[in-house]
Amino acid sequence: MSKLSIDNVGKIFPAQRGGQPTRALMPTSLTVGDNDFITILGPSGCGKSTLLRIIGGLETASEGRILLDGSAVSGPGADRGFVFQSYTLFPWLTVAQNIAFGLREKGVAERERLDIARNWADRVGLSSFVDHYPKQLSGGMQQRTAIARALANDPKILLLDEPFGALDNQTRSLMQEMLLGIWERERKTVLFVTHDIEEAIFVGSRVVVMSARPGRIKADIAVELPHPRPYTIKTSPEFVALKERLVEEIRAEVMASGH
Amino acid sequence: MKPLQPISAPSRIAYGIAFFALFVALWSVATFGGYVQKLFLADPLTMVGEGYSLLVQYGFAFDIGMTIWRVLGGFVLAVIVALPLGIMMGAYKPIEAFLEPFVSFARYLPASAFIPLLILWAGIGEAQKLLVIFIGSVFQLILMIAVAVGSIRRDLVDAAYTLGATDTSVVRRVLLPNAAPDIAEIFRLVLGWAWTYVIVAELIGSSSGIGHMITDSQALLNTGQIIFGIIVIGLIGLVSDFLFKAVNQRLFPWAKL
Repeated sequence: MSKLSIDNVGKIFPAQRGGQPTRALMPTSLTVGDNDFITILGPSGCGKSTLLRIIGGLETASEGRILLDGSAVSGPGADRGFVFQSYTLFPWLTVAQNIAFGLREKGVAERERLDIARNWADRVGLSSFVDHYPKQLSGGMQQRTAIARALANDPKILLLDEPFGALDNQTRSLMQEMLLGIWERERKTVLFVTHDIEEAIFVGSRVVVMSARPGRIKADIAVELPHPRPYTIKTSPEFVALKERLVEEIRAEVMASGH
Repeated sequence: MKPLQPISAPSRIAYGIAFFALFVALWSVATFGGYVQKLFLADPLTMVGEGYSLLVQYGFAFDIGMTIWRVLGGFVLAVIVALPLGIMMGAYKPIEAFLEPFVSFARYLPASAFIPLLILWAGIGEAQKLLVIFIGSVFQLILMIAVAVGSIRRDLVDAAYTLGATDTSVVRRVLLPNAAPDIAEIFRLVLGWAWTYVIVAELIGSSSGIGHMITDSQALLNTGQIIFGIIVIGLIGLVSDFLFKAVNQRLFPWAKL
């Protein structure tokens, strides 16, 4: 069953000061099934984030349309949770208040809000930090809170835009396991943008490879690795074979873009 | 000394007091040493004596009270007008485009130059004093609040929208709390400027207040009283600054983390 359908969505940024308009994204189509975990992999500047922001309603598409559960998406909304690469927790709210931000918008009563927030803080391993302010947290903790904040809203789909891009390798790999664990339990539909090949394979059930700018979908590869996936799977022959294949795909694109 | 290296709280206080001591010492040397004539500058002891007699014999406490009430009255009126306007300007670009050029122009109109006009319009009573302070602070407040509200990271606003926030709740729950510590700091700054306007307002056509006392003392060539008046203003400023900082730290603990 298709949850999200991306139908010929393209993006052209208007000309700046007499320059040429830039096409960031070729008309792109993609169908995301219910409970899919799709990673979108591509070199930097390939338009993968633009595509995700269009789905999130933060940018408007120049052409095409996006259907979520059959209805067209226009503008951002609570049905699509979004996690950014930059740290976007509200600095004036505690961890619990941050997680409950969307619930308050929905008019959920304060006690219930706090219960849900505590529950989510617990699930991302931050139960002893609910009363901390974001500045008192490490980068990894902030992103965990951001994921909890998006999920507490119970969105139909979770959109992640290189959420672990600013973290160190150790933290990043722990975060991948945590996210995968949540997905294995909750079975959310997830779209995850990254430029890290290993990350794309490890967390995804499908890897969509995008070409250099202007972006288009170049390959769509199913990841046939079993769940639950321990981190040791990264050294398994299947994983390594898939990684080699994707390295080739991405290399060709990075070369093509003139780097 | 290393650049930006922090110092302990006790030594910070000691350094702060040391400068005051140095200041009084230089002043004492200049006056007691006879380098400056008494006519032009009273020595510290005379100043303290004059201050005592002002407070005890001439009811100077009432003047201080009047001045404080004028500053606060005019400032509060300015805040009541500036806060909603500044927030609207910071949040909504068409409102900013509509008001910003005029407010920027009005900001440069010197409040003291309005005093003759205000005396004509409002007489020499309290309304005129409050209006001087109002005119002097309101335009500054509007512009600075607008900048504080408008300077928010775009991705925080994006995050709020993806969490289901409406336009009004982006203003109420994101722009406002984000700007609140800056707005408190703006209040502290502009209140300091309001003190300059009030003294100017009291120098002309007034029968009470610190500024009025200073004009009277000028007629009597009593530099001790003038200096005492100026120092009282400085002390009130110091206390109000301290209060503002303490309140801000309590209200916005997250801002100083």
